[in-house]
Amino acid sequence: MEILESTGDGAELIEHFSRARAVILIDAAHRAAEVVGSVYRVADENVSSDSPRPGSIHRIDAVAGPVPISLLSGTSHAFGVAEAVEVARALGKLPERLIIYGIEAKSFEIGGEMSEEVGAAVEEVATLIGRDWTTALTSVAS
Amino acid sequence: MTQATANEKKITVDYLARVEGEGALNIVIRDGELREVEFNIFEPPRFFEAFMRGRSYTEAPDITARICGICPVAYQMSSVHAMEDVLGATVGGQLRELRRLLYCGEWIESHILHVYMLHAPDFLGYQDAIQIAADHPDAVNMALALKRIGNEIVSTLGGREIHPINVKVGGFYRAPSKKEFRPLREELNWALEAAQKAVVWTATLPFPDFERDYEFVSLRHPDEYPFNEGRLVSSKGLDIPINEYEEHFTEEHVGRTNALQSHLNGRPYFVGPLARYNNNFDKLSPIAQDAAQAAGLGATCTNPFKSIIVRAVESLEAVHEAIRIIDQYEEPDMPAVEMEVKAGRGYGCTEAPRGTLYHSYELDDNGLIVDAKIVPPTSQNQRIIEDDLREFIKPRIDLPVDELTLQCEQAVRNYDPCISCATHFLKLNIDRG
Repeated sequence: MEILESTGDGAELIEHFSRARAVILIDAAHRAAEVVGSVYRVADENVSSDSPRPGSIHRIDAVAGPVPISLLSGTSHAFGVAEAVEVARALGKLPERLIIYGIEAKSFEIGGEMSEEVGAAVEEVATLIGRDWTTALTSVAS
Repeated sequence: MTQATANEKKITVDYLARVEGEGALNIVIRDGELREVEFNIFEPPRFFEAFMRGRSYTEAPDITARICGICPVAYQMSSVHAMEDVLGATVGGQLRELRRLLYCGEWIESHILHVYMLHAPDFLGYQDAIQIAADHPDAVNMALALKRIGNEIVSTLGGREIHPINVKVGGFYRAPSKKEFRPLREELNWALEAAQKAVVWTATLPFPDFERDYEFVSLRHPDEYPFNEGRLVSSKGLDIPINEYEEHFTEEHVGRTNALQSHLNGRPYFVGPLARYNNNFDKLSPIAQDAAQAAGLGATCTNPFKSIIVRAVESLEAVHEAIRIIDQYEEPDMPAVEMEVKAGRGYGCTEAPRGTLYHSYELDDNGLIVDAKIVPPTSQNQRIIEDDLREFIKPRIDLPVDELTLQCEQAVRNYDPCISCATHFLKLNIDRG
């Protein structure tokens, strides 16, 4: 198992995908207008759907279907995560398993600190990843 | 077309796709006439300029490298040259060659990504890189492999693929051994062929008929195609040492949105690969000159859409230069030149993939940064992009909204704008009633 920190450069991601059997990718996400994948937690259930929901966790099985560009294209790289996944799919370079966790951010301001909501979401995602990893080990072992 | 009443059309795109960061374009067409074009995507890196005050000169390369996700080497190079200028140091010999090699890597990775994944889709009528991968898998696979070699040059020498950690004022923390370059040198043989194919491939794309009389600004050096050193020249007679930059180049706030635009003695100007090419064709290697000419380019080119061919030519030049540097490389005695700390002001101007990147710093007696000024290439190109759009839209004013939007986006992408330090979210609005 390798743990890699990536700047989100799409071409680099495609390279990683093509060399792995299972990949879990965690990224900051924009507020998604619609629910994407499995939403594990919406930070405040009482806010309207138009409000930001920092700390919301989206879990997407990227092998099963297309990744929504709107959720993960807010990086400073035009060719980011969602595009990289779809290009890899078109080139037949997706790994057997690719799970993406998108954590909705509170702010993308330069020099800002991680918010409490995102901090809490990070803890939760760590637990979910533990579960994913066990599943991945089992399913690709054959 | 005439209408009895004022008739405005509005085209809105929430973000300008396939440029670094986010973009904004406002176009007003009223009663069949182009009324307003406002292009504002760029905020200067003021946060970083302020952040560096009080920090040691040694920190500048690492801090500024974070301004741009895709051209950190450029920021490191401009900052180390500026600091060395303050401290009166010269970095020559193999260290100078290694710096050029590092830049070769960055040009290759940046240019090839832009050519195939960001710009080519426009020429072929695709929405995005995904469609081009589906229809042209061989070309995209070749591009990704070539880009990866650019990344590998940067990681072999820089210690990490994206933000190199090996660069310092005076040189490097560690110089590689000759042996470390061997795997890369093997791959560069393939890369040379791939880059040649890239030039051939880009030349087959359909180009809009669009030429303008530009003032091209770049470095020029007597002995080489420019990366880190030279004088600042233009295609209309400018020829100055870089420490006179601020006497000729000014930034002004213009328009309703208070966009910052750069001018050369009051005139708009153009930086980037096309500018370098026009000012330095004679300094390209024969292999790059031949490829450019076979692709239908002369020694000068004033169609900004053909910048896509020029990026491929520069990638070829960078591969060729990387091979030359590695073949002559001997490990230097010291990985860096010693610095003597003193107060003063210094200037650095190097050729980022997107054009000239200017840094200026003032240091105190302890080598702490008192003041910093950074002018990225994309901010310098804002005015010329806006002017291009004005000319480009006029004959296309009656096009359907969607088609016009796509073509405007393609025109903006001629400049491969890098706006990762944009500090606010901006919109594309074509106001057509």
